[in-house]
Amino acid sequence: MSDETTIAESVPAAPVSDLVSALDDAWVIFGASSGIAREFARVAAQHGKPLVLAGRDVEDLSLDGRDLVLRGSPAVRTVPFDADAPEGFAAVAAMLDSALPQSFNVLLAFAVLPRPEDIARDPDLARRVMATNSGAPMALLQHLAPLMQRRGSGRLMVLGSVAGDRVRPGNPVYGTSKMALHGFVEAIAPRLAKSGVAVTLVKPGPIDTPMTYGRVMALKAASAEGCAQAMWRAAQKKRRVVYFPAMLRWVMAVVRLLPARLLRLIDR
Amino acid sequence: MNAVPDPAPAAVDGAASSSTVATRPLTGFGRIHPSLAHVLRPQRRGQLLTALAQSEGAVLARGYGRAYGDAAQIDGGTVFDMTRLDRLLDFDPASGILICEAGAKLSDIDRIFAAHGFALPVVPGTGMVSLGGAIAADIHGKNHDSAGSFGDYVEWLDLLAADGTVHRLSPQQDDEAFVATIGGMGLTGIILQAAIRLAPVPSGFIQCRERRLTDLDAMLTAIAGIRDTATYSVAWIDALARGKNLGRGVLQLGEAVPADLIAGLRRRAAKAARRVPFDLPRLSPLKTGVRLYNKLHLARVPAAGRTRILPRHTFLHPLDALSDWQKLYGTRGFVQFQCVVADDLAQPCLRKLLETVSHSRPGALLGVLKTMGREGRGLLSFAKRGHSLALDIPWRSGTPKLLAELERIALDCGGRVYLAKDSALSANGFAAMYPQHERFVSVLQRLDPAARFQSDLARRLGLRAYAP
Repeated sequence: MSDETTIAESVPAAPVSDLVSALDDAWVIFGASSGIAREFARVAAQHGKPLVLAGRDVEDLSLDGRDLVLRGSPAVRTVPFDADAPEGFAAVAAMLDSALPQSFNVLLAFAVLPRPEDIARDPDLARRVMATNSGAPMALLQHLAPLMQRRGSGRLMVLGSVAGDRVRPGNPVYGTSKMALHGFVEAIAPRLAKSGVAVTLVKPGPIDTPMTYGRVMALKAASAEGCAQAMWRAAQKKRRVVYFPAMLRWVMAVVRLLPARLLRLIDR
Repeated sequence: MNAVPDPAPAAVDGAASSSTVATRPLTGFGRIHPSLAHVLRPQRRGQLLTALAQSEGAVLARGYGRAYGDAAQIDGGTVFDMTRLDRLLDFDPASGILICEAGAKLSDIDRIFAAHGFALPVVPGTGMVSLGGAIAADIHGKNHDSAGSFGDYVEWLDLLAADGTVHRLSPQQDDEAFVATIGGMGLTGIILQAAIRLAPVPSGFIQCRERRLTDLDAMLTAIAGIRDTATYSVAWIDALARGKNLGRGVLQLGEAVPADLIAGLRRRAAKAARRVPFDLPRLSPLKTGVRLYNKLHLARVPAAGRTRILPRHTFLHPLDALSDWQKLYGTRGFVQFQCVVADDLAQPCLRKLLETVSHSRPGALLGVLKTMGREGRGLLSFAKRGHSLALDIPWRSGTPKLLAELERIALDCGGRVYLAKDSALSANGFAAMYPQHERFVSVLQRLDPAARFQSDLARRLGLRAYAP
């Protein structure tokens, strides 16, 4: 039984425009089916922005594309992208370069959240988490940053985490991977800003997404929709850092100053 | 409890991942009678198909949890949270037909298509309902006399059956299964997607006329006078009032406003819903508060009545003005009793129901009276011609006894209790109120011979001989 064929038979493909101008000021979303990215794409669609969805399951992303067109996006395209296959990054960048001659915006929203017991069972997972969460964004941005700088405008938004502000003993690998990512983004932001590209680092707390489902108590997890709205506002205001929920900015300011001995206090 | 595959390490964003499993207690909106289930929230259809194939024991789909009782929970079973399968897939402005996934929220659909001049023809008192849930409960709105039930607008639907096959159901294709699924409370399988006919609307506003009425007879006379002409009608009833005040309340009528009349209104921004931040403590003087609120609510409407132009959402979804309002009832929760009784018995029957509840210990804090037109097309559809009364009752020690009494009164006048709201209906009561239940069960036997699809509601009603 193939459910995809059912849909294809019943519904004509959404109008995915090939007109270059239709993609002006598009948001290119890497890891487009992640919980937060999906909501962000909906917010962007509501604001009438074209979208390029980059992810592994292109067939599924094309269904998201139909949804986003109905929600107000003038054009949606999909691009195959695998964060764990860096050999393909150059091709993706070249494709974007030719498809998006005007300025565009980028959201990097792919990551893995391993459980400590998974890493205990499979030590190499620690290395792979670093590769996916920090290595891949750094490598990808080597390709993307020059394209954006050449266009002289646009926004780059990178999904970090409060876990990267101060690494928790409870999940050191994940926190370290995010901390590395933060460091890199903070370091390249001034150079990009100089050429007109606004960089925003997003630091969400626990958000109710597939990544956290069943692990974070529902009460503690904030909604992905609210996070996406906050990200959109931050992108419009070209803020350098955005926390969600916002009050985490002050919580983390304190946590960052905690002496190492007291770190276990923040470990639930 | 059934075996659920161990959550695998989380995978890169979109990759198929079973990290979307949680074992947690589920309740309906009234938050009584929790039961523990494995809850899976599939991100894409493939995950749902795999999860169903791998599951054992009882299974059930769930949306936003707005059924008041135990319709969307199954003790010890596997529940599929459908809220992420919520994509809009196609819309044809010529026919108004929208195809979307079952997890789509009705308020989202209404908001998005208002821009195209279309709206859902039938919406319930809250917009926080999934498309799949709206079909499975064959919901109704304040326009049932003129518009009928939600299921009347379903062109076709795709049903994932217990054996993992997907069936396109419509009046032309397996009508028997189609009418079993509409109003079937999720027991025929999982609705994956559906095509629904939206209705053109002239504007996003509704003109609302309100009248204050002093007792039940005045209310019923007023309703009889308008039900054939008004598009929307609903009466709020002060369910705490007794004696000569019994049945007093406010009757609201609504008509769509032509677009040219509302040019000046557009700039008013939508008000964000206020939220109830915490559960009201046990000892709160809830009833006194509601008594006061009811008096004020009545007094707000001048004796001569009033007319206002309201955004569609405000008029149609009064329950969404205050989010998490179920917390007003505290952690003990509440139930809703809703039944429909035939028009000719409405006066004595409604009087009896209101008298019983207003003299009971917990009492009802909210009463809503509506009229209903034609029968729903589903085998277990709630709708039939008559008057429908809904009563919100706090969960206290006396509540089960009160519910049993209300059930008996409803049964005696040939009434029918609404399964989407129900927490207490007896198996015998159900069998008497739903004359097509045997036909429904025979369809279940064909679609789901092993009786995999179950709910706490279905078990309570003794629909089939469920394996423990």
